[in-house]
Amino acid sequence: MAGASTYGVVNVKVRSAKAELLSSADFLKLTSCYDIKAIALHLQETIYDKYLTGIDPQTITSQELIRKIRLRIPEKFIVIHNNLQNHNQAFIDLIFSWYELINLKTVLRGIHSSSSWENVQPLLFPLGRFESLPFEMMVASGSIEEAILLLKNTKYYATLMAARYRFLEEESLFPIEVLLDLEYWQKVWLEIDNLPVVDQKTVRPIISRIIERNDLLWAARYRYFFQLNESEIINYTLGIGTKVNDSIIRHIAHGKNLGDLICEIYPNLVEKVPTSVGEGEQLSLWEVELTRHIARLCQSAFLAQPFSLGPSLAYLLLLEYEIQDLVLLIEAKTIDVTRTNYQPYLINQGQN
Amino acid sequence: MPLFKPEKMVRVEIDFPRRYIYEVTKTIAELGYFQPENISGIDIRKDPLEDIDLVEIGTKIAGLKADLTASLARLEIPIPDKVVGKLEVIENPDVIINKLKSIRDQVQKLSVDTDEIRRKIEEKQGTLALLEPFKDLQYDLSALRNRRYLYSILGIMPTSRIERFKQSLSQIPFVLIEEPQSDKKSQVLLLGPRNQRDFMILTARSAYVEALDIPDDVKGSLPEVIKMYEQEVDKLKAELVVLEQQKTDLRTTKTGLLEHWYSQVQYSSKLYDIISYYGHLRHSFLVAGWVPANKQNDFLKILDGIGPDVLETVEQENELDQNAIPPVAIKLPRQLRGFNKLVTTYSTPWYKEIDPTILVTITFPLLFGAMFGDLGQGAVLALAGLLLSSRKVKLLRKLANFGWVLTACGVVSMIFGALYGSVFGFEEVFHPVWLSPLNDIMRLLITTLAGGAILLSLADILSIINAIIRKDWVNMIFSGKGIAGLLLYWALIGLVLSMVLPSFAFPRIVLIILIIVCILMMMSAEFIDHLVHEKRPLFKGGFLLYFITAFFELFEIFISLLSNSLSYVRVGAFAVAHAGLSQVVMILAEMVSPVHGASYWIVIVLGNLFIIGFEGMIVSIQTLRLEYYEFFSKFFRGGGVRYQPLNLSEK
Repeated sequence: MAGASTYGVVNVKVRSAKAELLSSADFLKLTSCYDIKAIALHLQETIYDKYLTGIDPQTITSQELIRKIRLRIPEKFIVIHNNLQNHNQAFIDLIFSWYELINLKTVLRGIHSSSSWENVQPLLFPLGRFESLPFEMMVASGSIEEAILLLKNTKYYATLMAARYRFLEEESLFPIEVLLDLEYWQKVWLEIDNLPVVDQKTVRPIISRIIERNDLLWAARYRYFFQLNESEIINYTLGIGTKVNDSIIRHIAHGKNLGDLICEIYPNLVEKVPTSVGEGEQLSLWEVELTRHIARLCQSAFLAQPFSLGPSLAYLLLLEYEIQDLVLLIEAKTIDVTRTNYQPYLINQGQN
Repeated sequence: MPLFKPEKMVRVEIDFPRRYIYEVTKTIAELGYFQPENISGIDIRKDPLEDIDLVEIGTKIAGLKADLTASLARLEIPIPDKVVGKLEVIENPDVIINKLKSIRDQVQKLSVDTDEIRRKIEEKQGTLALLEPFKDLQYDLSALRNRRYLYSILGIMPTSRIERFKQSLSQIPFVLIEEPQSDKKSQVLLLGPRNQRDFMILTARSAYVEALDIPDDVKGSLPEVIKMYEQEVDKLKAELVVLEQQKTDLRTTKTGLLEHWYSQVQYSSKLYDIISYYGHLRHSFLVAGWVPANKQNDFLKILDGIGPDVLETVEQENELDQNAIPPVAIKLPRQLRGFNKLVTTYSTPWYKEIDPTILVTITFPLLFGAMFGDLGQGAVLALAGLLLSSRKVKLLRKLANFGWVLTACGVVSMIFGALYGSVFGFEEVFHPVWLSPLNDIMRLLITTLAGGAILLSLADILSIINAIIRKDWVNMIFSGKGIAGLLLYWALIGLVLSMVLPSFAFPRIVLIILIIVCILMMMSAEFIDHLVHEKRPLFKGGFLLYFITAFFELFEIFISLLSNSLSYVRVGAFAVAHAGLSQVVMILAEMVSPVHGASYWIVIVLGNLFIIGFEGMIVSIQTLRLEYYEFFSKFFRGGGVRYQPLNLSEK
């Protein structure tokens, strides 16, 4: 029962944290809210209350509210991190560094559009004690080249330098962002091999689904929005998931319908997205469907091997999806989008 | 009562015209005892944009600070940690901005040029490293590039992308030669059909292959090309030395100036932050804040010295608005700061209440020592506390204030150790002065119950004193935390004693009448409060609801009196547990070495360390629990504001 002693505490904490995820009834109430003031007030009646202390629901902006509720993610990461053993801590830290990567991309975009730190800072994800990159100095430097030099001793430097020459030639952040994403997910995939076998068994299916979703959507978007050719799409994808290989990516590059391919790979997703809508909208809807598919896999991780890293990873993803839904709701209410227009894009609509 | 009551504060409002803004701000910021209030909400100017220039200057100074920080970083000058030069408030930041601009531009140009040359050197060295394996080949480079049917791309790419690169090329015949340069980068040579040139370029680009920039006109054998590149690297290195020297010169000449500007900007930025707290009257500014009453005269004298139009209004303690919250300043000796931290962790004392620090200084070690009574272990704790408070261990300096708490707890543990007859868990070394916890459990528990009753009564008395300070007469007399509550508690204790102790001579009927009177007083507290303060209706929600509410509140008071009293039984219980745990260590040591060899003493030492560490922690938590929930909750309201005056002499 070595697993029980290693994962006993974290398992208890993760399961109790999972029970705190918002229920369907909560989401029903939130979708019924008239505006973000009402959402803030309702959230104060939920587990999010502790992150909203001191706010005035009457005056809070959507940006502030989003930043506050996102505080829950680093908090939970720390709890899980602290209750794991060293080898698993490194993996869970790598998963959390996804948010650092999101911030890095936001900062680079801010620099590229000559935004000030005051404008960039509120858009950054709160990283808590994991904050490590000199974002303020990067923005103050005013140029992508100088900002990259400020990251010299970080894990991102080699990747950024490899993509830097293309940024200078194309004056677009596309090559930098693509390479950052590719390197990140490839690293995550390779790191799974360093986990104990029991963890590999529970973690690999979840990460594989995420990489497969990314590959499918990236390939379709590169073809539809950027008109890239097959070889470029191959280079801009990973092709390492268990179900999405190069032959599928090549089919997408040649214009085969994404929905048909997804239904071949995951038969339980047949007819999930209507074919009557335009290709661009289909892409967005498939993104939600594939994410829901991952969320369902995460839910089932709690029924499988309890003494492994799987439930911890699954919980963190479920929490991320819950926050994504809340952000969508807050933004929809802020700009007065009707429920019928945003409802299809909600991922979870309540876990419990 | 300086240890019980916070320093007396007065509220000062200063009204002055715009021309004195910097002098007033500097004065109040540098005195070190003025705590401002944010009254920026007061604004009765005709034109709200009238003093917008102050806001603009504040914003410019914030930008200037960022620029200065960046320039200092680029010149590798550390941020100054002390004031450099004479401090003056910056009234026109454009002067420094313009002067800084030329320095900043020089620094930026130097920085960009240096980085560019470094990049070029790195590139050339990369190319050299790539060509290194082929240095003995007397092969013309242009011959490789200009083949009729063959197209080649020589470059560097991320190692992690090589496999995908190969996959992406699978549509054409190709040869890819790879040579890892590091675990991140690899040199690659791609050879493919010339008619697929565009495809190869596009695909290599998407695989992040940075083609080596060897101009087409570079001809000759590979050794010749290598030599040419080596010469270029040497030339670039010489240029780098010149740039580095320029940077050093700039650093040498400008460090003092940049550090002085930084000090000024830092100082001014704080002053403009203070200015943003000011209120705006029709033609003047208004500052409000708190000053210790004993400094009031000095303060007013200094302000009067600024100018005749600087007008001050002082509100004494008894003239303050009901909503005013004076900051709390309590001067404590260093030895009591750890105990004060225990209090402020619960809450900062309110201005109009007793600061319980001195009481905690007595009760905390007392409760701890009673639960952890051992002469030897107490001595260890006391010594550890003295070591902490001496600040001799660098790593533990931050805990120095808690050293005195530990010392006090250790000393009281030693006293109780003598009373219990216990030293390092040995119970038979000397006869207990008072009792042995394991052999006289009931006596110990009853004593702790009595001690608890004394502490609870003390808490009620403190609550009454706080009500007197607040002039809250109704609550002082009628509430559960007032005289009525205290008398009820004493009468109940008396009643219990009269039932269990035949020798208790106090007439029971008197106690019963006292209890009834106290109950009636407490039940009527809210009604009397409404009557005295002319609040209507007298019975909120009607008499029936009032009666039911009062009844349940009374019920709650009875329950809490019982539970709070019984809570102190844990003091005796932990003393017994401590003795029990010590016995376990002794038994284990006997089992390991009945002849009392070395292993016997190892178990004794380890066992004692375990008790000191583990049980010591549990007892501390229990003591804190008793302090917070059974003691503080009875009289301590908290919610005060700490006195943190402006002090620009700080870093």
